[in-house]
Amino acid sequence: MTAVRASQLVDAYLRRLEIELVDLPAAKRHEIVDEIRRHIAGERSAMVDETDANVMNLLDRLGDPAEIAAEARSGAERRRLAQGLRRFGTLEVLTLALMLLAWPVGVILLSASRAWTTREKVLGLLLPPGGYPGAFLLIANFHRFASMTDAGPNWAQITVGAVLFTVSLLLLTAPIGMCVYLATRMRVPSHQQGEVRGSSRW
Amino acid sequence: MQCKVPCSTVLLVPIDGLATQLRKGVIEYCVLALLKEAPLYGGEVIEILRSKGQILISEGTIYPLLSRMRSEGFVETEWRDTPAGAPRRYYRLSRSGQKAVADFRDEWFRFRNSVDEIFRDGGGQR
Repeated sequence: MTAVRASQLVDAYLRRLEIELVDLPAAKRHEIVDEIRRHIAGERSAMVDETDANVMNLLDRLGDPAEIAAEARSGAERRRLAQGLRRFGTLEVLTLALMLLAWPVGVILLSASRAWTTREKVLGLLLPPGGYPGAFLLIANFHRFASMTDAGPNWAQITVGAVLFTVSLLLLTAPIGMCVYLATRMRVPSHQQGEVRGSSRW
Repeated sequence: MQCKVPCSTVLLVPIDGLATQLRKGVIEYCVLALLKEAPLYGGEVIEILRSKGQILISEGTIYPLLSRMRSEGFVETEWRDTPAGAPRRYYRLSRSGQKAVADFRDEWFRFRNSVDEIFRDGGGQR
């Protein structure tokens, strides 16, 4: 038995593979095609009796070029997603930092983000009013409230002092507490979650 | 369980596609585990997987998979001359590849034990 059409079959297979991989970066496409070409050459040289049927079986075992291309594309897709997720993380960290330091800008980014639910966004908008600049502004005006009770009895001064102290503590801890809460609730947007779940971990 | 419609249509993963789904989840780690023993070229990876049964269906898909693992830093490659024929690209495990294998191994044994336990106990019945 001889392999009359073996080389033609292999060439046609590799051509189809090239076409299926056409949307991949050239370097990646060449690497995959080159490796498969070497694989076929190695297997053919190891054949005791190279017949058309043996070569066809070899190509069958390698699989449909479309399947190989699908595997290659799933890798490219995974890389794209991983890059997307990294970008997503940076933006959200920036949002949280601005919520503390430049509240209006942080609020705009928070509202536009898809990393939090509406409920979390509303909580984020309410609890740190103005971020730290806002909190310091309020605390700086507390002496006005305190001075209102100067003429009053001692117990009223103590009570107002205690209330203002508690409010100050809350104003100082609430923004950072809210940012920690939002950081723990941050999530991958739902349309990406499905894609990530559909692929392996890396 | 009695099914009024064919059972495979009510499962999340149709039973005929189940093996493919399972295979997809583990094939990369199986390849990494093989490379843990010694550097191999693509043909050797395919040959070993072929000898292990139904792990690999389309043998050619190993090459994009190896290429991806190289891009992602789980394997490193080097060309080696062969006595007869063209040089071959050998793949060996990188440090992050070794970690991935170790992590998968732990995860796999936990997962497998849980599934084994459920099936051994008759679907969770006491």
